[in-house]
Amino acid sequence: MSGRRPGAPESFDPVNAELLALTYGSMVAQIVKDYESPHEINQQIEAMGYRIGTRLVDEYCAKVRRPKCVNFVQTLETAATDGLQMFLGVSGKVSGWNSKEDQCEIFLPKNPLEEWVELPPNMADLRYSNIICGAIRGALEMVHYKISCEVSQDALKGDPQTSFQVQLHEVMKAETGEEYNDE
Amino acid sequence: ALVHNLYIFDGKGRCLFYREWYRPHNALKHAGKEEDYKLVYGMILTLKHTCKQLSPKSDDEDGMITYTTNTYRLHHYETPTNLHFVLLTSPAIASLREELRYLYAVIFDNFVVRNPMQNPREEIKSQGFINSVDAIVSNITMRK
Repeated sequence: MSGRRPGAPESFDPVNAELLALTYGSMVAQIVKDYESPHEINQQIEAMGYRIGTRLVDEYCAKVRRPKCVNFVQTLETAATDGLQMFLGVSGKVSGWNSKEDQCEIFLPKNPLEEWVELPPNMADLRYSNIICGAIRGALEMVHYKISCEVSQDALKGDPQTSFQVQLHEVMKAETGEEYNDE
Repeated sequence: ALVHNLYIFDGKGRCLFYREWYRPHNALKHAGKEEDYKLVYGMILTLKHTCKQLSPKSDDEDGMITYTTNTYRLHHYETPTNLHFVLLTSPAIASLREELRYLYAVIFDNFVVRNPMQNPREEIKSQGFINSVDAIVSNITMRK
């Protein structure tokens, strides 16, 4: 690809982000057909994102050489800025940390997934960008942060921009599996 | 016989991949492969912990450990996602940081992470992966 962003990791191919944006709508439409309740639809979309996230994090770590993040604030900000930039093509902004530094909000100034999308009125409960929530959750879980992530503002529903509320639940310890516990 | 064997572990100590090029003596032959994996992974964890305790810096963790004995050298590289790449070679080989990094960043990425048929935390069976690993090894051998 010749249209590579300056500073992007060398082997990164921006076509993936565009392809996702273009095909995402029909994928969501299919899920809407397959599942009835909006709750279930949102869950399915999130779960899909989660599985994507658990893989993306390895790709990110493989391609980006930078010092290891040492705490949650640093990790999340890296994920929101560089991670989203790498896979979605836009960089998120993190703000609104609480004093315990386990809660914050990620703002997306532009959401490529929603660019050509209109929600029909009967789909008011659909969280269209839930896939991003899932991806963030999956990626963070692989580096030991159990979080929940929810769409807090949605540009599709008239908010000025899309944002996600992130809550840290647990810092997981690197643990060994069952078979190691007997000794 | 410059490169002996390779282990890849996930963060829970499951061995995702093992390949052997040179191991004329295997003290664990009768104990079985699982015992072998457990021993290596257990030692890596202990080693990592000990190295951290002895470090003069509080945030000294770049994910690479290597030690040498009279008969072999162990190279260990850990990714931020807790994958452990452990390669045993002849003691004559210098640090293989770049090779292990390449193994993760290019080969693991291409054949495992981007492979829809492969769960990245399950045993790696891809023939392409095996071939590429062999290629790195013959590269290391040839350089010598």
